[in-house]
Amino acid sequence: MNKYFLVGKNLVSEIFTYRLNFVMWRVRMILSLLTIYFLWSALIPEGRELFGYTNSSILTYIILVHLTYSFVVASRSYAVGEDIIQGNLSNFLLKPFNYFTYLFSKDVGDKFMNISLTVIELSILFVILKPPIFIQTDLLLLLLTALSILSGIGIMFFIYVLLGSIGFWSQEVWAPRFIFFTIILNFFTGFLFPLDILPKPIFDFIQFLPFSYLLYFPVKIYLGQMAIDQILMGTSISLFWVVVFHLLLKKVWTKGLQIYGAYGR
Amino acid sequence: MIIKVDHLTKYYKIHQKEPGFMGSLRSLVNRKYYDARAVEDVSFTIDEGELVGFIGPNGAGKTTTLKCLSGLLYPTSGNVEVLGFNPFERKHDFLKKISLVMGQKNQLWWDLPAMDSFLLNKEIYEVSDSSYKKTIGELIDLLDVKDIVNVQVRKLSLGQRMKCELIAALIHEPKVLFLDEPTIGLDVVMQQNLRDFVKEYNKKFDATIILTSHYMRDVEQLCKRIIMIDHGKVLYDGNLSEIVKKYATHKELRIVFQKPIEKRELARLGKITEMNGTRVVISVERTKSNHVAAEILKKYDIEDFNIEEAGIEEIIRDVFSNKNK
Amino acid sequence: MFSQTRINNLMRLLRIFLLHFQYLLSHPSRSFVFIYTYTFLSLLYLAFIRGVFLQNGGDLGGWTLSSVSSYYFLIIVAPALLMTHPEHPVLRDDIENGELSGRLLKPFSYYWQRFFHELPYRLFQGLIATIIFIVLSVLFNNYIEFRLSVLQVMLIVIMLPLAYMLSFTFKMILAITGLWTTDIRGARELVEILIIIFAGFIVPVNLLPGILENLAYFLPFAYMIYFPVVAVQGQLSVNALMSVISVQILWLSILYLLFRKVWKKGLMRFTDLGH
Repeated sequence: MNKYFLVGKNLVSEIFTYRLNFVMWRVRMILSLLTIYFLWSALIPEGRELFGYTNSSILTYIILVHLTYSFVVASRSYAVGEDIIQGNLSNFLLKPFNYFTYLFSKDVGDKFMNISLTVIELSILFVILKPPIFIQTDLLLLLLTALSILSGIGIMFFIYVLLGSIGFWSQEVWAPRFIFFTIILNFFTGFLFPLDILPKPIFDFIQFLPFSYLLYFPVKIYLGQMAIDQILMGTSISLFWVVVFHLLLKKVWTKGLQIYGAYGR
Repeated sequence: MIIKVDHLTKYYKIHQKEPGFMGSLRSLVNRKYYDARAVEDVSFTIDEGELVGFIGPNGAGKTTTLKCLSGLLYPTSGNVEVLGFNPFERKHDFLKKISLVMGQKNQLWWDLPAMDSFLLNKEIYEVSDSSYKKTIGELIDLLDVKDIVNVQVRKLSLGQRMKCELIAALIHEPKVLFLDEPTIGLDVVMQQNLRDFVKEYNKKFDATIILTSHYMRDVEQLCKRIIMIDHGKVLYDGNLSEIVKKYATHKELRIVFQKPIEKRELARLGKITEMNGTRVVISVERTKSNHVAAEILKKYDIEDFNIEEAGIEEIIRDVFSNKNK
Repeated sequence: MFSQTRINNLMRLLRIFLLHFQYLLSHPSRSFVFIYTYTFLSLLYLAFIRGVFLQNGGDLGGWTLSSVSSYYFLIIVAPALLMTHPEHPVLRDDIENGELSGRLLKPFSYYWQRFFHELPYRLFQGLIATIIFIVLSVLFNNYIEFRLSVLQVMLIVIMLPLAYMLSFTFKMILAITGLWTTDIRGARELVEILIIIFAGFIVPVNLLPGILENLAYFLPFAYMIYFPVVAVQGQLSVNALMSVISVQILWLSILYLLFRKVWKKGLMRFTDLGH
C-alpha cells in the first residue's frame, strides 16, 4: 500500500513545482464560484423567489455544490487519454502494480489538495460574503450524504477513465472530454443550477442519467430537501451506474489493450 | 571563411531541486540554479564548400554548438559569425541561406502530402518558380521519392519521412547546412542512403555542410575534416587521415584460413580480436604488421587476406579516453 | 502603393493562406465538434434565460425575448469567427513537440506564421456557424432586423478584424507563457472562465451584476465578442461604435506591445536553456 501513498505524495510535489500555474488554477476556482454566486444573487435578489428558490437557499446550494465539486469532480484522471496516445501507458503496464489503483491514488492526492484548499478558500469567502450556512445535524442524513459522495466519486472516476479510453481507438480524445466539460458538467450535474428548477419531464429523465449523482444529489440529501423514498431511489440508480461503468470499463480495457499499439511519437 | 567561431562558451542554467516533498516546498520559496557547461572556449573556422564532422559522445556539446551557429542559442560569451551575419539576430536574409536539420524533429504537415509542405517552404523562403522546379526535381531524383511525395506524410515510414523532411529543408538551396545526428534511428540501408545523399549534395550544390554524429561511419565516409568535442572542449581539429596516422598504433589483419588453426598458435603473432571458425582478426603493432603478414602467408594456406587500419572508432575512443585522463 | 513587389508579396501571402487552408481541410471533423458543442451550449443558455424572462414578464434590462434569442444565436457565430485558439498548436506542437526551433529559423515572423495557421479555421467555422445561425433563425422564426446605416456598417466592418486581432494577440501572449512552464493549465482555465463571463457567453454583458458589468467594460474580452454581436444587432449608435473601436485600438496596442516584450523574454529563456 506504501507505493500508492507515495504516488499521492508525489502528485502534491508535482503540483507545487508549477507555482504560478497552481495559483492561477485556484484563482480560477474561486472566480467560478464567485461568478455563479453573483449571477444567482442578481437573478434572485433578497425577498424574491425564482423557480422555488430564495436568495439564501440558492446561495447555500451553490456553495455546497462547490465544496462537493472538490470531493467528486476535481481530478486529472482523464489524462489517461494522453497516456494512451503518447504511449506512456506502456511504462505503467510494465510496472508491478495495478494501473487503476495507481490512477485512483493519484486522484486521492488531487482531491486531498483540492479539499484542503477549497475549505480554506470557502472559509475566507464566508468571512467576506457572510452567506447563509447550513449545518446538517441528522446523523442518518449525514451518513447518506457520505455514501452518495463516495458513489459519486466512483462514477466520476469511471467516467474520466472511460473518456480517456477513447484514446485506444482515436486520436481525438479531446472531443468527448471537451463536450463533457462544457455541456454535461455545467448543465446535467447541478453545477450551474439546482436540477429541480427544470420542467418535471426533463428532471425525471435526468435522474436516470449518472450525472446528477455527482453534485446535485449529495447536496440535496445534505440539505435535508429530499424525501426518504427519493433518496432510496436515487441511491439505487447511483450504485447501478457505478456497477455498470465498472463492467463497461473492464470490457473496454480488455478490448483496448488488445489493440494498443504502444506507439509513441 | 564563411563560418567563424571565436572563443564560444555556452552555459545553461539548470534549476536544482532537492528530491522529495520537503524539497518541493523549499523550492517554492527559494530556487537554486547551477551552471551546466555545454560548450567551453571553442574556436574554429570553416571555409565555403567544406564538409566538416563534429564528433563526440552524447552530451559533448555538439548539438549546442550547432544551435549557436544557426541562431537558436545565445552564446554566454564569445563570437559567432556565419556568412557575415550574427546568427542570433536571425535576420531573414541570414535565415534564407541556412538550414538546420535535427534528426527527430519534424516540420512537415502530418495530414497532407509532403509536396504541400514543400510548396509552403517555397513561399516562405521566397524561392522563384523556376528555381523551385529545378531544385525540387533534382532533390526528388537524388533521394528517389517520386512515388511518395504525394502521399500523406502520416502514412510514410520513418525512412521515407526523413527523406521528405530533408527535401523540405533544402528547397531554398541553403549555402550552409547544419545536420544534427541525421542518421539516428535509421536502419543501415537508410543510413547509407543518407550519407550518399549528403556527399552528392555537397558536390552538386557546393554547400558548406556541418554534421554532428556519434556514429563513426557517418564521419568516416563523409568528412575529410573532423572536429572532436568532448565535455564542451575541442580535442582535435583537423583531417581524419592525420588523426589516424597519429594515433593508430595497430593494424588489423583479417584472415580467412583454409583450415581452422589453433588459437594458441595464432596468439603468438598478435592479439586476436575476433575468431569465428576459419575467420580470424588479429591486431598487430603497426611496425610489425608487414612482417607478421608475410609470416602468415608463408606458413599457412590462406583463402582471403586483408590488412586494415584499426577501426577508426577504436582510435577515436582511445583519443577521448586518453584526453580525459 | 500598388507596386509590383507589393502585389507579389500579397500574392505570396495569399498562396501561404491557401496552403494553410488546405491543411485545415485535411481534418475538418475537429471544427465540427467545436461548432456543434457551442451551438448546443448556446441553446441551453438560451433555454435557461428564456425561463428567467418568462418568470419576469418577458422583458429584462433592455432585452426582449426576441432580441435575446438573436443574441444567443449570434453567440454561436461570434466565437466561431472571432475567438482564436492559437494556444493549442503553440503549446502542443511548438513547445511540447519541439517544432519551435524549426519555426524560429524560418524567414517569416512567428506571430504571422501562427496567424496564417489560425485564420482558415476561423473563416471555415465562421461559415458553418453562419449557416447554423440562419437555420436556427428560420426554425424559431426569430429574425434580426438589420436597421443599420451605411456608416454603422462601415464601422462594424472595421470593428470585426480589430476584435479578431485582439483575441489573437491576447491568446498568443497566453500561449507564449508556455515557454516558462510547460503546464499552463491553470492560466488557461482561468482565462477560459474570464472569457466565458466577460465576453458575454453566459449572459449579455449589460445583464451582469454591477461589479462584473463594470469590470467587463474595462477588460478586453467584451470587445472581442460581445460588442461585435450587439453591434450587428443594431444596438450601437455611431458614437458608441466609435467608442468601442477606440477602446479596441487601445487594447490592441497594449497587447501587441506586451506580446513583443513577452516574446522577447520568452525567446531569451528558450535560447538560454535550449531544447
